[in-house]
Amino acid sequence: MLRYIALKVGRAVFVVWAAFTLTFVLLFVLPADPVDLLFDPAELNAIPPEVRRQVADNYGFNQPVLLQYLDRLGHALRGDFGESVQSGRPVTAAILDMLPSTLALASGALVLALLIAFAVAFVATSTRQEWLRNLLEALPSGAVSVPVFLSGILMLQVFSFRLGWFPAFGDQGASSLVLPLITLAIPVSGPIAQLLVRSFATEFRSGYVTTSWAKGATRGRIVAGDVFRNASLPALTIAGITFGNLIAGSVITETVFARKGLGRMTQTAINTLDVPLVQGIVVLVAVTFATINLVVDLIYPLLDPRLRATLAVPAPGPS
Amino acid sequence: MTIDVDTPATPVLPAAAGQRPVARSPLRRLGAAARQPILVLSWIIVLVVLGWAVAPQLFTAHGPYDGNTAASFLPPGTEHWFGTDRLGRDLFARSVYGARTTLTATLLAVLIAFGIGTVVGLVSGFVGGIVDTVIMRLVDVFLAIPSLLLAMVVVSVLGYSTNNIALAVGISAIASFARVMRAEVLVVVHQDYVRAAYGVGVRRLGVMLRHVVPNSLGSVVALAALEVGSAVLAVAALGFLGYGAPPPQPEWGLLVAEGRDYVAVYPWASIMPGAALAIVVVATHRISTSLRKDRRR
Amino acid sequence: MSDLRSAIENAGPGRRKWPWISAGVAVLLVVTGIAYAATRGGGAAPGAAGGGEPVRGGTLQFALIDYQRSPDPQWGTNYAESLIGNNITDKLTWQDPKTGEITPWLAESWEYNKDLTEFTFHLRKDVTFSDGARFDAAAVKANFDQYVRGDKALGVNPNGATLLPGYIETLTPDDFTAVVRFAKPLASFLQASAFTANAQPGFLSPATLRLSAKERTDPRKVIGTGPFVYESWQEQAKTVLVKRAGYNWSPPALGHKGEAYLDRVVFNTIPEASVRTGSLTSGTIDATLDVGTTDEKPLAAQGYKIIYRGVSGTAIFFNFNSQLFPTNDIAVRRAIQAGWDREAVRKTVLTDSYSVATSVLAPSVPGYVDYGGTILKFDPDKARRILDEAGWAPGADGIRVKDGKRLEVKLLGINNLVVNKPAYESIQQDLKKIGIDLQLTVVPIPDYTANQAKAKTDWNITAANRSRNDPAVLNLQYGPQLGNGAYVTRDSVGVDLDEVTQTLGRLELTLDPQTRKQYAKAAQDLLLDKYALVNPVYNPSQVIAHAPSVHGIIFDAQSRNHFVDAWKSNGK
Repeated sequence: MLRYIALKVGRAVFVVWAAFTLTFVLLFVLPADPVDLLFDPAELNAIPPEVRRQVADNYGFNQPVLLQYLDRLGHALRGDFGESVQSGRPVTAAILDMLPSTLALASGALVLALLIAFAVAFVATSTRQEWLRNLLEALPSGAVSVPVFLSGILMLQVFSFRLGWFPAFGDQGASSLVLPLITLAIPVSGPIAQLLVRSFATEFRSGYVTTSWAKGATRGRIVAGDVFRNASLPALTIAGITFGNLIAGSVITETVFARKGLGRMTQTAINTLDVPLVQGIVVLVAVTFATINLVVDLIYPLLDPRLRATLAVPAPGPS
Repeated sequence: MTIDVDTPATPVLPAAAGQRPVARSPLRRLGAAARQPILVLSWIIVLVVLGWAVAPQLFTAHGPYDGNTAASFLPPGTEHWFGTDRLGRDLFARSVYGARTTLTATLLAVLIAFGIGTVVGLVSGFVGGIVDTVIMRLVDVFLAIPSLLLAMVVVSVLGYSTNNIALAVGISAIASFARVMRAEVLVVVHQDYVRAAYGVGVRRLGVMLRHVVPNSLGSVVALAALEVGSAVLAVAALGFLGYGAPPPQPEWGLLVAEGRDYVAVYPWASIMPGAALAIVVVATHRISTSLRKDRRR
Repeated sequence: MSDLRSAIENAGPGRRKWPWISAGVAVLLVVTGIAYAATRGGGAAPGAAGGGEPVRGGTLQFALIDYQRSPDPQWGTNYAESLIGNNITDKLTWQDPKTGEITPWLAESWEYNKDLTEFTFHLRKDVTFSDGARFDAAAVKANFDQYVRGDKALGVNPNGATLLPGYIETLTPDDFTAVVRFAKPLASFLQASAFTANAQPGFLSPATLRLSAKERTDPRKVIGTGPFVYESWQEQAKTVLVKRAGYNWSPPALGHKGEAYLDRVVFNTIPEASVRTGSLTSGTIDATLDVGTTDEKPLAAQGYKIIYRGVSGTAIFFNFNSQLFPTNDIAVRRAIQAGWDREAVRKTVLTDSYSVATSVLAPSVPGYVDYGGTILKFDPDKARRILDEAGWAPGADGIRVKDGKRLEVKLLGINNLVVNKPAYESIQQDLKKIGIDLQLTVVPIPDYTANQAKAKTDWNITAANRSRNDPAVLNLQYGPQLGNGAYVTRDSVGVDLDEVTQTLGRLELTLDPQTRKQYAKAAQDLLLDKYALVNPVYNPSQVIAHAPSVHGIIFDAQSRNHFVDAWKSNGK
């Protein structure tokens, strides 16, 4: 078991390093020059070369690429990602500033999405009404069929500007979180509900369920007791996808609701080729992602006895 | 009620699970379909949209690029079903002509994600060992990098075109498909019937093709059905962030994205294409569910 | 039996869910319906207007699209940065937004030598920074030195190097006299001393200048002489300014005495146009910049005030690449100038706050000449004739062909202004009718800059604008030694390189208004008529919508806002 844990931790570290490196490569593949982006686009032709050189010098952009990489990696290992090219702020401070509001948004939306998904799957499996089941099974696709920015903007029009129930922008208190949470949770809940509905149905036809039927359990107890537990595994599997959806969704949600946050910061950082900032964000995202996976890896065997059994044999568990 | 490790879980074999007689005549199918009006409607919607993509000129008398200064921002009506945009172009015509761009892009994105993702996941889960480790770490890395970054790099490097945007969306979804496929494969390969197949001397490739692939594809196909919707939306999201198809080409996501600025004054500019988009996505999904159920029976 | 009962029981929650789902569907419908109704509804009338005597006190909630990335006003390339910088720092001079005349501000008077290489400013003696430091000639020198040269040790960029080319030094003959010297004539420096746009020469306290770029991200350490000081800065979200106690040196031309009226100004960043407008009508904010073009009319109808000023400098221009086929053919350039319908763009894309370009210069720039009735007039027949005569014959698909090559013109533009894309598309439609295939690539800024580097060989047209309220902007933008927007070289067919260099360069050689006017006209004649190097499209505008209770928001000559004279009727 200890070996298993060490292995998983090693992998997590690798993922973070590789994400750091790949991002660095990607940013250098991009055709724009970060120095140019510090000037007015209409002025570009007129910037004297010595000025350009001086600015590049300021950020170390004129050193050999490999040297820049090693330098950044060395600093990153010590938790220092340097200063943002566009604002001059230390990257760590800038990110820590944004982290709480994004965390509140993303984790809140995730919880809400899980609630929606489980509710949909639970009702769809336990109901005997064909039409209701069909309707519920269509909900996940409905959830992902409206662009986040459109649903967000429409909700603002109604609940903020017409009814005045919620503030339209900023992040003051819980009421300003309601609309963004719903906006973000809907598309995130889609894929989860989709997988849950399917695996609930699959598990429902499984042998052990038949056994339970035979033992006289009710439909509701079977769904709540057996199916729920076993069918939740795939939901854990798509934690990674959900994570990606949350990040992508938060960019747009934060933009629409004018919330400060990591999503918007990522977009701006990429748009301005703010290398240190992008790297800092990617490492944070990768660390979070790797940690989530690590946790999933470690609790997966606890949830699925079939896998716990195979763990004794040194076969890799799903990661 | 908890499960006992010793109680073997009954495998869900698509073929074995069917209790019905196999062949159903087309007529009976039609009869069955008639009892499901929503399904029929879904088929009609999808076929119409395919028609838009193949021969748009049959569905609208207006051209997608014909602006008319006098007809700027007309509301939906008999002449302009979806209303007109700022330059006085018919939004219905733009939606009809945009179907080709959007559908091509979506299919391309889903094919890339589904095709590559499934193969990678299958190989990884089935072969196992070092191959699995390497592939899964790469997949993890791709999942760990914001897909927006990947998409923006692809579009910026390859240039602005709907196909490149589709490529970007497809590439950033490969990792999820690979992951789900692998997880399914892992569950399947540990099932007793797979072990049994080995037992009776079926070769690895045979087992993979006959048992593992069909039994693992379920979740991935479900994901693919959703990905159709997600891909359309991802394209729209890129348009929202400024990475859209080059003008004046109509594209659904972009129509919605560009119409959002006028939402308080001319709501149809984004709501009409948005509603069309949503309906098609839901219809596609309804069909994919019915296909899956058919197969299961 | 028990099975049936349990099934019914279990169906229960499902049934109870049903109203919930139908409620969801209903909400969606309502959303659509109400959003639609919003177009018809009159909306609540905003607070009553009150003119008359300015009221002191109150907080102005202001919204705009960009956010301030750094509190340092000398740094920065976006509108939020320059806008906020203007309210915490002052400049040497103030340019009258109506006449373009340079008037006193921190400098009471000035003179310059005949060559326009030495400018002597006599400073006000009563000005202090908000940390108590005295504003004097030494402060001017310290600011200009760092502004132009940067400071590697502190990580400060040479932000002002492009605004003040050829800067040598600042001399301080006495405490309140500063002499700024340049290596070559720089007539535009006088306007630069009043410059309020991006990377502006606003004066920072000597204590601030000693801080590193990193330390300057703490807004409380960024000290100016302006009517407001930083209270807080939340990246991405908002910047809060409070009034500076004891401020008494706003530009005499404004006629404002003493401190600012408002206690506090909050700059809220709201990226979405519909959210800015909705926040204004719901009363959350008092004023918003970056008003969506389609929102102007409904807002005005609801009683909100729309104020605007055209962005000074050049119009949004199509700069022709005079080297690259087919825009190396003057016939193609002239046909494009005449081939698109200004009226269509005005009616469908622009509002009353914007205007169709009638010269490469915006009307507010001194020396502007109107070409609206001559060169820049929609005349499709003339355009066709020009192309016919030059040997461009209509091809099978309607696009003209010459020597087997289609008349394809590739345009590179930026999508930072919402109006750009539809305006270009409108032009694209019109040009297609006369047989020109205008291909649009309208992209975000980083992709624009990346492609701009290859513009000389890859793009027939680059579309952008440049904000500088001085005719010398033409030299900066088109001077072959400087911006060279039309890529004029010795190889440019039919364009005399030396003539272009000299005609544009003369704009830096005099400050005599009459002579400068002549030079400006000659420069415009050359760019628009003689060589047809540019097709101006429209004059962008900065548009503010505000509640009737808000008064006195000033647009300066660079169309940036000053809040020193702003007040609210209710003083809250």
